[in-house]
Amino acid sequence: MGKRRTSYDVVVVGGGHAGIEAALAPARLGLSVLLVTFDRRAIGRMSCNPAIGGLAKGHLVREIDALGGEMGLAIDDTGTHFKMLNRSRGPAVHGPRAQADRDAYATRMRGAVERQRRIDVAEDEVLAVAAMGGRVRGVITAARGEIESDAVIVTAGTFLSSRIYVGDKKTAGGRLGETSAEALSASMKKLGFETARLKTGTPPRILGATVDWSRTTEQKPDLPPTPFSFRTERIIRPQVSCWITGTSEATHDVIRKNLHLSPLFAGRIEGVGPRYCPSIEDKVVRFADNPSHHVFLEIEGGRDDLVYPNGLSTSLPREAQQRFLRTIPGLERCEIAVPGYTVEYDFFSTHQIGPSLETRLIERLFLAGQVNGTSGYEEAAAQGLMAGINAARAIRGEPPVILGRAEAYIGVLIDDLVTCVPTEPYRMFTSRAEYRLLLRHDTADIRLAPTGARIGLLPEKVAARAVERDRLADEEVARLEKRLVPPDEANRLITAAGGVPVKEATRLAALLKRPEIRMSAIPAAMVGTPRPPEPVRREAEVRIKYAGYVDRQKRIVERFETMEKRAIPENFDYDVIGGLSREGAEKLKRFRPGRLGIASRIDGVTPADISLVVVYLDRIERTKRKEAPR
Amino acid sequence: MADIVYREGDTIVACATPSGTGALAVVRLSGPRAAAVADRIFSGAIAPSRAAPKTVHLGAITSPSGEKIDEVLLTSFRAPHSFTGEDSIEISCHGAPFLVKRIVERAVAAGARPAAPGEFTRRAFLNGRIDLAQAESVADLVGARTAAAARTALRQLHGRLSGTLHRIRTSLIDVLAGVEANLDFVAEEGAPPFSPEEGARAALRVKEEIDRLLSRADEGRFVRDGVRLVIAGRQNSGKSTLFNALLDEERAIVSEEPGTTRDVIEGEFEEGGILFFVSDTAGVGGKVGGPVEREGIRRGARRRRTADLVLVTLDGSEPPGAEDEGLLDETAGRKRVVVVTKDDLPRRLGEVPLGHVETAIPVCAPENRGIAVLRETLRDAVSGDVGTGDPEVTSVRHIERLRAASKALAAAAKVTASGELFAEDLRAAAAALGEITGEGAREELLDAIFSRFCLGK
Repeated sequence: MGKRRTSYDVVVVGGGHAGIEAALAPARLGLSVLLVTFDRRAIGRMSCNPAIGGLAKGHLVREIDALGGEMGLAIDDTGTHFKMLNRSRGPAVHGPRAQADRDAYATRMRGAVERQRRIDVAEDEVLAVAAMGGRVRGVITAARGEIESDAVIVTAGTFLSSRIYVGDKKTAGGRLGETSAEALSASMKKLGFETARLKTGTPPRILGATVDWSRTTEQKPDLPPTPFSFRTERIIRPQVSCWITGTSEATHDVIRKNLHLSPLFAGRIEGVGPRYCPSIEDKVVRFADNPSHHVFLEIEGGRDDLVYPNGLSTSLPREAQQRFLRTIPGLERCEIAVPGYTVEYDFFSTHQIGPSLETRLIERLFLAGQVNGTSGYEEAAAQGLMAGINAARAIRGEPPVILGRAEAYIGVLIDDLVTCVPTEPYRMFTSRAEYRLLLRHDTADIRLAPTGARIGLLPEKVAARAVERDRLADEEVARLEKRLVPPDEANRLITAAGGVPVKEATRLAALLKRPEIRMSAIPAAMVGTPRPPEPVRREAEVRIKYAGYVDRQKRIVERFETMEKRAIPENFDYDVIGGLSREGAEKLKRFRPGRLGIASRIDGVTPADISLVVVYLDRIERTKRKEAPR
Repeated sequence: MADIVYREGDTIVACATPSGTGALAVVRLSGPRAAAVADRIFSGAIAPSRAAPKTVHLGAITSPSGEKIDEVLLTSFRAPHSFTGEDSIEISCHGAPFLVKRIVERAVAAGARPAAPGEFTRRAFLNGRIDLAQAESVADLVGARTAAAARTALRQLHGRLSGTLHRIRTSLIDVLAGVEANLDFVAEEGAPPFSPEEGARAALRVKEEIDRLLSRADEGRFVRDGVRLVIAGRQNSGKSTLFNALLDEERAIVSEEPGTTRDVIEGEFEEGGILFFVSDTAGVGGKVGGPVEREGIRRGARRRRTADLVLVTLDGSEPPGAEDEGLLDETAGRKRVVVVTKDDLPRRLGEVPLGHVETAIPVCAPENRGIAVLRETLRDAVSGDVGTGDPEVTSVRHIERLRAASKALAAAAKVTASGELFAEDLRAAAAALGEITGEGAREELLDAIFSRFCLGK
């Protein structure tokens, strides 16, 4: 062994979607980073479906991008099937999604990490986090021994004491054929961390050459594709289709007959699985009336020519998987390359982290991704990015970046985690955002790019472009609010769209406010000049359509602002408050919220509890003011 | 939800004496706008905002239309020399709960916010008016409410009402779950189809249930607070005779002002335990004279708009006129009772205007014929379901939240074409109901979504 460096600013444990962002951010901010992974070829590996984005998840990717993260750029380079989901619904719930060439994506990400200055990658196993006096000192690895660092970010995914189930076979591992991190989980528990179990599943992978595509329905991608990144001009990679087929009663029969072999139903798994991503066994049992469930054959691409049958997550024995697959149109002769399986793993109860993702127990130790009970590449990457940013800022003595619920889905995600311990793998939904209309995917740059530039991860010119679009959209809205349309012209549009005609001249903005009238239906002559570029026009149209609702949401945000900002001191003693409800006191002591707004969202904390906390906060401040020398 | 107990600097109002049946009660207003709010509801020799600190003034709390609600003594306090340490107004009124409640309601309508439990004391503590030991006893007091946590919110309501509200909220969450599932999952993942028409119908069904509760809130109010009854009809249709006949029965005319400046005459009578405050208004139609008469007509129209119940008089001895039609149109869809007067004279009214009318009661006021029937009809018109034991909403705050929910649902039904806006209004309605029932758990919506639909790839 040559002379190896034994001291870094930041050590990142894991090279998944969280680990990549967690390593890139501090390195780009000028700090030295060691990324420790079992296998460098596994950096950026997609453990489950070969796709990035989706409803609400697409929002996360665009926010990661606006803050200067890598995920959006990587999928733009390697995506093979872009689709804007929910196009028929309103702009706030549109969701960009793209399938990726699985190998290309991982290679692209590995390249980004390996080429990044100041990052070293070590193929090794972290056995323990070293801490002294409540502060992190580094990590202890199997091969290199002790490595010193000022901050450690654990992004171990599903690898903590993980077990894989295929039928009645149980093996250790975080992905099929890979290892499990037994020592790290145990040593973290020794440091005092509380863990719980979750599980998730994945479908079998099929050899592409054994699929009869003629028996399936083609789903074409969007042309031209919409990029994720605000830095991507256009998508260059050739696009492929996705193919849809479905299960039948024959499939369900096979599954029912083999249920007793499923570890999920035999009660061998204690972890809780996600309701939004049920196994096919679950679907057949819980929704017995459904004669068929959709199956999406997604091309994973790459050397192995694998197909991912989305919708068929299972942990039946391999033979049973093969048998039920062959009842599905197009898969009659299919061969399984890798069987579907369920993985069960440890995560850290989230009352142990604060909104910067730093642990309360050990200073400068950060947790991000599935170790915090979330699910999904996007949720993981979002946390990895924030942990990376905040680790770097902590080292530099700067305050953490904490995004609000009205500012970003990333804010919703982390706030949810620090006020409620997930009881199933946590996935983002737009319904989790109370300010959904303020958080459109296509305004992620307007909302966050200035922050990304201020942090130092996003080029200034990208942020400047967002600020300019925002300004131009305001101007265009003002122009459309002034522009008058004569009644006969307005009514031609209104009646064509099936609306109620007007008697007098109307403002163009008032016309656009009608849900039935789209900007695209209005003749250019009526819209007038000067016409700003297309993205500005689109933005102005949505602003007009959402105006009343957006104003209302903004008013609510303002009303809560004092409360959101009001800090609760770290050492605040809840025991001196006599009247707290028992559950409220217990939860407040457990979660130790740093701000009153966060405290108010903890389950079990009542408005009266908050009122009492305010009384005592005021008392502390009054005493301080009195004691302060004049 | 928590903001209501946290917001500072606004003006709050509540009864400051123990609720119950003391002979006198004190309603306290506290905050920067206390005097301004009092100005709008108090009529006396001096406006409260101009009263010197620590002075007492005799006057009355009046309704927006100028009716007297109660005679009161008003005391003015200036910060920091008050119980709370803020500008305050204390109103000593009669102790009847319905009077206290109407005064608080008036103050809320004039811009004050109903105080949260313990809020006066909390402000007193924050402003250094009471010491820590006292503040801690407040904490215990508030805490006592807290111990039962969210359940308390439910228990405060009548058992049946909480059940009803819970059921309404559940059906609302169901509608919301349908649209949210449709927004959060694509069709291929099993998202339920969403039909705007069905969505609007569902939202309006929930709204109807809330409105039914609100209408019963009115009925409960009538029993406690009395009914504002306005007699309206064209000139010479026998309104005044009818007015006297209604009141004579009880010989209870408390005030009768000549129709010079205020052409509205008031009195009250009781029927079946319900108190009616009657106003006789200027007749509609005919020749309109000088400014005084015009003002009288204007006031009459305003009275009709704000009345709980309108008594429309049609002259049986005259052919129907445009004024009769106008009045029947104006009052259509409102709580009203129609009488045909001068039943002793030959009938020339015919059936024409009666085409829009449910029933018309023939009366001959001078002979007292039909008056007893009319009084019973008036009572039935406002007490409809009162005796059936249906739940009743009594709290001002609850009524206000129910109205907010109803309004949000009406808005929702108009924007179903856009699922995310529809969801926005439904969320607002669910939040308003949740503030009454104490419900609103974060995972509730997702639970509802996943229990109903087979979702996910």
